[in-house]
Amino acid sequence: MTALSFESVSKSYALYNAPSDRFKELASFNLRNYHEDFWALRDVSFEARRGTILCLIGENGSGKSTALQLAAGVFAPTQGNVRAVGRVGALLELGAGFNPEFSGRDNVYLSATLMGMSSREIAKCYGDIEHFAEIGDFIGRPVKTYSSGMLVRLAFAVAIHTNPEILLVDEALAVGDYYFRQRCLRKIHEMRSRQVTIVLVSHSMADVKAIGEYAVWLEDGRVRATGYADDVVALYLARMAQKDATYADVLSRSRANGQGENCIAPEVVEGLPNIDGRRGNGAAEIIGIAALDEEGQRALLMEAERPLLLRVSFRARQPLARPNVAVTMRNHIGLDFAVFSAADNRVELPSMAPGDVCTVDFQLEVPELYPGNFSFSPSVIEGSGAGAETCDWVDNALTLQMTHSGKPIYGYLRVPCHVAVNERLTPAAPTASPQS
Amino acid sequence: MAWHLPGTHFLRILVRNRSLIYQLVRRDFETRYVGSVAGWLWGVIHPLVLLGVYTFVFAYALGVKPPPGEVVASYPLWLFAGMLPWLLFSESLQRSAAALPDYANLIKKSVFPSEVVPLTIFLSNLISHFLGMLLLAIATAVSIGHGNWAIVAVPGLLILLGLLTVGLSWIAAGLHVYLRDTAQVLMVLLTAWFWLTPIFLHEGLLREKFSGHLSILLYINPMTYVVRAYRDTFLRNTFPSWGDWAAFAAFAVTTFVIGGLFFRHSKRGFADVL
Repeated sequence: MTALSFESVSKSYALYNAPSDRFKELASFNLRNYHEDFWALRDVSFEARRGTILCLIGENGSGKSTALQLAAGVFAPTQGNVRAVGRVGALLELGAGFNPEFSGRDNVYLSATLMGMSSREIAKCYGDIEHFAEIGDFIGRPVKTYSSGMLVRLAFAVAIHTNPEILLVDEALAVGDYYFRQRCLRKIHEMRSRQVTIVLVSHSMADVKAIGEYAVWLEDGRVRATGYADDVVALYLARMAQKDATYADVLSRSRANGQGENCIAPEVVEGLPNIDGRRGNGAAEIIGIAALDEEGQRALLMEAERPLLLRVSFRARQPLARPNVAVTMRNHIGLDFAVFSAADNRVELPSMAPGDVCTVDFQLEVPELYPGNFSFSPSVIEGSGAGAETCDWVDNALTLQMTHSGKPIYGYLRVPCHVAVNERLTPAAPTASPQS
Repeated sequence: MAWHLPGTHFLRILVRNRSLIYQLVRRDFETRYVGSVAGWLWGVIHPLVLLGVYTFVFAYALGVKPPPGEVVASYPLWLFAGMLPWLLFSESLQRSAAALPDYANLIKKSVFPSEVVPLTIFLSNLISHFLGMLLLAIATAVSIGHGNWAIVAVPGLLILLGLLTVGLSWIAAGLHVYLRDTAQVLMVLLTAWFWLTPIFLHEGLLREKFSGHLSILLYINPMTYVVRAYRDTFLRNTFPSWGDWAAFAAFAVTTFVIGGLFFRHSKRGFADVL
């Protein structure tokens, strides 16, 4: 059964040069035109079946939020039809649906009432809402004094306790802390199992792959692709990688050779997707870093137990006797999570003359990591031990997103372990037991 | 869409959002009185002090008498009876005019029936208005020595005053969203309007001063009728004349319908402008 459907929906906003122009137009009963049309959505059609999770993905300004607002009924489409069956709970932008001057308590009543609950129903579940939001004594203060985390907790608490049949969630969840996000995701799964339809806007492809069943990819207000979340995300990421002109370019051996440099690497990557900072004595220069999956395609995601190849290319500017390459991996909170280096793995790089290019491949076996963004900072070091000097260091050159792996992960990663009950410590089971 | 009776749309919104209206009225009333030391007593203290000041200034210091032919010989009571409906009207109108920007978040980003905002402000003011009416009824009863049956007209008067106030509030609030000077202009207009209404000065005096064509100002002023009706019911213990009822009802209903149509038309741009 279809819970939410968009039928060739278009939405245009009128852009005015001055607020008074808008009034002039209203005063003329729209006989004169003082605006330009901006089409936020054009001919968008998709539907969400009852009890499924649909994700809307796309770049900023592609119309995702507009689509969600249309679904919530905040405004009507310019053309086409939006049909929603059942009570809609919406968690749109931060602070939406709240009056900043009202206290948290008043806003709970206000927005729950707007979602169609009676005062008696609200009074009954008010305790649960307050408990879930964990606002504490702030509940009696105006919400304008709230932090963004408190706002989203309160809004989410209201949205889920009003028993919606369709829940719309804009990226608001992103501002919550880890603990709250986990609770939200659990709640979303629980609601799904109760046949609640969930429509989610997210920029985190890892989230989309983990919880979305279906996805709609919007680009410039049009539907670019719809289907299973995994497929749509793959298409989207491929497009993003293609768009990212500065993204590492894998050069073929022939081209590298054609440069006439003394190249000892069969494959050279060029291009640093990102440079947050750079330091070193300049004896060598990192010219590229790339992450490749098992098929040799550029990867934007890391998946547990899937091989991942990190390739770093650098060029010597001065003679290097004992060069070494290392990559520092940082997690979503900027913690130095792991360091891999050639020397630590007992791989010695050949000594290099100025102009020589060397490429080092790090073949990683990705463990089950906490899903988040991981950044990689490559560095080239000359020498070892106390006398080692950093030639070049690029901060956060590459970022990969870790996907969810089904079960939630507490802490930073799941450590593989084998669990067994120590038999000798347990009392011996009675031999007459019918079951072993 | 088929043509339907004006007001039915609003009635439907009213019924559907009765719980929201209740929440907003309760919240509005609470924030004005809860948290202050005397709480809702301020609703009584304010009119009492007003009454005391009028008595001192007009009856005691200036020796003003009510216009000839009044049953209640106290000018303060006469003045108070005229002030009550005006205060309800002007306070609601002024607060409604500037109210919508507070709800910007709700109007822009959720399904919010913004037409109920002026109504909730009127209803919230009505609560303190009841206290004022109670004081007036008691004071009159003490002064003339018996109870007052004519106050059965009060619910009818309040409904009409409500239609008038909400209708004008819609226009003011709708305009204010586009032109933020509206609330300021309204304050000036209301001051002028106050003195054109026979509240401090009695009708006879005003009619004398507005010679000729200007006297029409008294007749096209809906507040004239409601002030007169309040004095009839509370002070003279007489039912307002049918002529007054008809005139006031005509003004109130017309204003309400025009205001409603204006608001519905201007509402379309709210989400973009706020």
